[in-house]
Amino acid sequence: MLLSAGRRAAYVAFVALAIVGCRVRLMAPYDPVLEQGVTQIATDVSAFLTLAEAVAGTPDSAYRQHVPFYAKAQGALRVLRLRAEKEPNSERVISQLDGIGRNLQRLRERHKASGDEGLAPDYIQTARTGFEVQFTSFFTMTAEMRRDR
Amino acid sequence: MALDVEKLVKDMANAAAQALATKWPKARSFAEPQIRKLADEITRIEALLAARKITADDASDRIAMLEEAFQSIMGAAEGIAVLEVERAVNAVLAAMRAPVEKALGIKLA
Repeated sequence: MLLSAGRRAAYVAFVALAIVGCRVRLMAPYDPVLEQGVTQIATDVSAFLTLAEAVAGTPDSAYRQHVPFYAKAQGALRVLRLRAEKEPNSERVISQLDGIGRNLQRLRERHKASGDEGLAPDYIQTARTGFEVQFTSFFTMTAEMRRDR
Repeated sequence: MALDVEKLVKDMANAAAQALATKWPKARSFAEPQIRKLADEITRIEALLAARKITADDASDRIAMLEEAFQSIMGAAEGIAVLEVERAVNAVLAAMRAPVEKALGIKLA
């Protein structure tokens, strides 16, 4: 169907306005609260692993002594996930949070299974490597989300 | 046979490069040092297993944790690449803005 010159001009103007008037967002906007929240979890995980290493082999290393750490870290992560969910295009952020959450759960199950013995120092080293890579990945992506947006 | 950490780093980086295709050059500077950390740890786990200091189940459990971390590297690398595309698209749109404003005779918000 042929459009009249006037309608065609109006259509072109509408499309141009639609394209030029908006800014494309392929990723969720940068959220400082989310970054601060994950920074706190990273700090707590690092402090916990250092403590677990220091008390390894003593009664203080037993799982039951550290239940509050897991509850706090996993609870905080769930709240951050809820926060991320409300933003469009936040799948990659959520995926990072979920990955950290799965490794926290692995650490917890391992600790629970170890009972009074606590986590072995050489296992703590593996956990530290895994978490450090995960937090570095999250912060690197977040730094890019913050830049020029 | 003991793991060759250099080959492991290379294999993991090649797998990442293939999976990320054109996005890899941008992600490389961030991803490669992280991949090396994982490869070093995998090599250490392999040595513990070879020395029978840990069981196969234990090693498998630890590797699962590191695989999860590898997924984080890949996800972040992909996110960084998507942000690059977003910047490119917005740069094109910004470049179009002045001529469109001129042609339409209006100032866009």
